[in-house]
Formats: sequence, C-alpha cells, structure tokens
Amino acid sequence: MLLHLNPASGVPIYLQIENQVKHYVAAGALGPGDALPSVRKVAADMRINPNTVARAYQNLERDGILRSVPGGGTYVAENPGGLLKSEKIRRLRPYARQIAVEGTQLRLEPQEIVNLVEQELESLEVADERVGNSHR
Amino acid sequence: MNELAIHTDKLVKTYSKLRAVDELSINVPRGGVYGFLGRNGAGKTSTMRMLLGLARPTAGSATVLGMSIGREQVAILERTAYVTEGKVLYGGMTARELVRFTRGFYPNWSDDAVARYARRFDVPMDRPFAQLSLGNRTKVCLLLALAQQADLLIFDEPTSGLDPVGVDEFQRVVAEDLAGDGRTVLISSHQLADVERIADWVGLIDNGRLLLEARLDDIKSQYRLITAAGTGLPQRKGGDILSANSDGNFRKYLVRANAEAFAAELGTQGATITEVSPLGLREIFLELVRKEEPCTSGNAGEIPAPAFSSI
Amino acid sequence: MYIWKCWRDTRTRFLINLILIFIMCAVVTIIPTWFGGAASYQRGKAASGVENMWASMGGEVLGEFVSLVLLIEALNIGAGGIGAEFREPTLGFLFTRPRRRRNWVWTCWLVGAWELFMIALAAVVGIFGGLIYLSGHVYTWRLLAAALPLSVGALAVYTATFFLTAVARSSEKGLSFGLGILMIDLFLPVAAYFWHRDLTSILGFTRAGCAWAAGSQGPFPGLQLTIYAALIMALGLGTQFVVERMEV
Repeated sequence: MLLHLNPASGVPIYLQIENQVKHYVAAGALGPGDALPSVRKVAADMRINPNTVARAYQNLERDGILRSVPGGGTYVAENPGGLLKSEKIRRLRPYARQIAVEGTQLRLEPQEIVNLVEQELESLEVADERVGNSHR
Repeated sequence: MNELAIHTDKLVKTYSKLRAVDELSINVPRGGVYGFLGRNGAGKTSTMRMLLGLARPTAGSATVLGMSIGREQVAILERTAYVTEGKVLYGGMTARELVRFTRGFYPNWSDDAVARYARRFDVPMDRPFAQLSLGNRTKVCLLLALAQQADLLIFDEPTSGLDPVGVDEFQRVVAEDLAGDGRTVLISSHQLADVERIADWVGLIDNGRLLLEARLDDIKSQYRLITAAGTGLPQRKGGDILSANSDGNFRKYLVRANAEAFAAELGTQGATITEVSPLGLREIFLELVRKEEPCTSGNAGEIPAPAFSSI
Repeated sequence: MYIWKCWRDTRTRFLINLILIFIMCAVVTIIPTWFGGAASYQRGKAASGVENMWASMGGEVLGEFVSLVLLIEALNIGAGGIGAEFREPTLGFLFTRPRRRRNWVWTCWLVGAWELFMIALAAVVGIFGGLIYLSGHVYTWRLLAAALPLSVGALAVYTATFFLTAVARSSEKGLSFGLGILMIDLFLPVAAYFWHRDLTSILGFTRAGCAWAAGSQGPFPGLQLTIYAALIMALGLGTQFVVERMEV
C-alpha cells in the first residue's frame, strides 16, 4: 500500500490515511479480504506516530471499511459500505459543499463543477476495471 | 498505573530575575511522542533539566513516570534516557569506550541495541569523541540513549547536525522502536516538520509559559485561521480565540474550535470573511509566537495548501 | 563505570609520576656515593655510619624534598579529578546517570587519594631501597611509616584543591586557589614566628612525621595527624555538599 502523506498540511495525518485507504478501496486497488500492513509497519515506513495509524485504522473499521482479526492483522471488509444511505450522504456533504464553494470562488460554471466530479468518477471506474478484476 | 509519563504542576525556574519557566503545567501521556516546541530561550531546556534533576525548581512540582523529581531522582534516571542539547561527552573516549562506561548503570541495557543502532546510524565506534563532527556526536549520544531501553526518552534537539539520512533514520527509530513499543518520547526541536510527522501531542511554550497543549490531530481538525476584512473588528483574545493579529485592513484570528460559528459572528458585525483555512504546525507556531508584527506581504510563513491537496 | 573512567583519565600521568618519583628518591639517597664521599658512605662498609647519617638527615630529605614534590602532585590531582568534568562540560551527562551524586564525588576522590598514597609510598620505598643498597641490610622498618604523614599532608592539600575546584567549577581556578592556600599555609608559621606564636604548616607536619620515621629526634605528630584527617573528611563532605546542590 502506497501512502502519500503531507504532515505539514492542515489535514490531520490520520485523515490523510483514511482518505487514501478509502480511495484505494473505492478504486478497487484494495479488494475485500486484502491484508493491510500492520500499524507498526506503516508507522515505521512513513516515519509517523503509530497512534496516528491506529486511529486511522480504528476509524476505518468503525466505518465498516476494514475489519481486524484479533492478533491476526487488518483486512479490507467483505462488504464495505454497509452504512445507511443517509449516513453516507451526511458524511459526504461537507466535501460537496467545499467543492461547490471552491469552484464558485474560482468562477467556474455550476455545470463545469459537476462535469469535473463526473470525470473523477469515470476515472475511478477505469481504474477499477484495470486493477479491480484481479480481485474478483 | 499513572497514565501520565510526565506531569508538571506550576513549575517555576528563575535565574536571578529572569523567569525561564513560568508556572508551567504540562502533561505528557504515556506511550506518546510529545513535541515540546518553542523559540530559543523559551524555557524548554530549563524544563527538561528540572525533570532530570540537573536544576532545582524555584517553585512548583513535577512527577516523572509517577515519581516526584528531586526525591526519587535516581529511580527516575534509571528509567529515563536523556540526550542533552550540547551533545558533549568525554572527548578522549571513543564511542566503544563510552558504551563501556555507560552500560553498567542501566539494568535493561542492551548490547544488541548498541550493535543494531551503530549499524543503522553508521556510528564511528573507534574514533575519539572530540574528533567527531557534530552529526556523529549526536549519533553517539542517541546510541547511548537508545541502548538504555528506557521507558521515557527526553531528547533536546536530537537531530542537530544530522544529515537527511540520519534524520530519516532517527524518525524511523522513534516511530518503530520507541512509539511502536509503547515508550514515551519528549522531544524538543526547532525542526517543526520533523515533529509534525512523528508527534501525536504537542506543547508550545514561549517565555516559559504554556501557550498550547493538544493532540496534534485535534489541532489540525479544529484549529482554523480566519482572515476577515473590515473596520472595527474585535481585537479580543481569549476563549477559543488564541490570537488576533491585524494586518493592514485584514485581521487574522487563530481559533481553536467552532471556527464556523465565530466566522458567522464576524459576518454579522459587517466583516467580509476572506478565508477560513486549516493550519500546519508551522503556521500555528508562527501565529502564536510572533510578536504582533504586521505582515504586509501576504501569507508569510504559510505553505499554500488547498484543503483537498492530500485527499 | 565511573571508577574506571577516573582511572583511565589519570593512569598515564600517574604511572609516569610514580616511576619518576621512585627513581628520583632512590637516586637522591645514593647520590653521595657517586662522588667517593665520606668513608661512611661506602657501600656495606660502615653500616652504622649510614644509619647515623640517615638519622640526622633522613627526616630532612623526606620532609623537605619529598613533601614538596608530593604537595605539587596533590594540587595537580586535586584540580584534575572533578575538574576534568568541568573542563569538558560533561556534568549534564554524568549527573543524569542513575547514581547519587555523592557516589561521583567519593569515587573521584578515592581514585585521586589512592594515587597520591601510592606516590608517597613509592617515594618512601625508593629511599628505603636506596638505603638497603647503601647499608646492605634493612636497618629500620619504621622508615616505611613515613608514607603515612607524607600522604596525609598531601591529602589535605589534595582535598582542599578538590573542594575549591568544585566550588569554583573550574579546574584552573581550583588549582590556583589550592596553590594560594598552600602559600598561605607556608607563610603563616613564618608570620606567627614574629608574633612569638608557634604554628605548624603542612610542610612542618610532614617534616616532623618523617623525622620520627627516620628515627631522629622528636615525637610522632599524632595530634596534627588527627586534625588533618578530620580536615580531609570535612573538606570531602563539603565537596559532596557543594556537588549535591550544584545546578548544571
């Protein structure tokens, strides 16, 4: 698993990890049952605090994206996305709002902003087809 | 079991008239990496020296690993490793001789660790300490501290003189062997970027006083810098507002929570909110420690980081 | 361990001094025979003559020459002991090793005291050996006892310098203060003489002790020895007090 962390940014490192893991899962780079490196390994490789990695893993587990086997590591959950739709929307809304605000500030047309999001979704699907097949 | 590795209670240290440490109360949780930050002369080293029994507090008290400083100092020192700011050891001794000198003092001393870290840090073991460069001196100091297998490690500027490879190796050791093993690390450094990576708690002091102590993640998820334009904006500090610096027609507020609510409140007072942005440690540090000097050329000290950069 | 460190720091100088002083003392004792000298100096011939000569002069040789050398040695070792920690500011490192500070003080003091005693003994044994060479037999074991007053006198100067070095937190200052104390100690009896008072300097004490050991006139200066021993203890405890309260 390749993480790109920027500790100097205003985004907490645990959130950066969560987001990237979610991204890998959404893009199919990580499939159900795939093992994640241990907290200690990620911490050592990235030179970050193990507590931070543990926090990210715990949050991901709470979100149903990962599951951990006591004493046996952490894996991508079999059926991620078991959340209620309303909860999913609630979580995504701040990002949507931020895209809307940033886009408007940059004087983009509403349709251009929507197109941008659609393009990102398409590129995820392409990546899914390329990488994800091996998992199924 | 006490959950705090270090707890100070209104610790004071005065040197003639200078209050080097001024009613400082910090809490370092066990198993964490605590970044102890501040400018030169802010009181970091004085605090560390008091914890280690090298200086006596003028007032206040402190416990280290649950034991009070002064009275139980020897027991504290047995379980605490310390790398001094000066990195001075016996000049005539080689690293190998320094190991021989030091090992007998510690019940948990590990010769395996000596061999391992000597290899990892590439420590010249057979040259007299006085002939080593600052970077290599630092490595020898780190080697001795790490081989103690201490429960608490107090590092005063632990990367001084180290090249990037050495710094990287040090961070790996802290992440894997220290924090990964449940040991507590108190680390004072000017290298904010290094601390930001490795620390989970930070304490920021200036003029001997604590300005801020929090979990680094919480700081990043809640602290915001609000830039507002307008006249007659409040100059107040206090509560959630940690600093209010004016900058021409703009005013910058550093708030530690409820940024949106405060921004809305400013809006009702006729202000135009130009930005509500999260901050890195460096910006927070500068914002809190800077002496109200107006910054006239944009966002000095800020790394332009769009909110989505790493998502 | 600290005792190893103290020994390691001083061993070269100590061993050189030890050998030098031994040779010097032996040579000083037998030097007169090189010049033919009086018949009483002929080796093995007139043992009684040697004894008589030594009885009258031995105290002087030991008490003046050896004492002075030892006092200089005492200043040196006294300023070097804990002073070495100030010269390269390593106290922050040393004092964060888990031992009580009195441990550092007394370890350091003991190593220096032992070296000083060995040097005093080497001087006496050098003279003792020289005399055996001259007379062909051991005529008085008591001579060896001179090592006691000699080293106690030297230890007093050593411990005073040790204490002053800790107070001044500098090897150089400790050395000059120690020298100052020694000067005053030498000068006071002279001054007291003019006031018709009887005072003894350290040099006077070691001279008296050596004279007794050499079998010449005078009693053993037991009272002074006790006073100096007490002074040494007091100065040692004083150093401990200073170092325990020291901030680094």
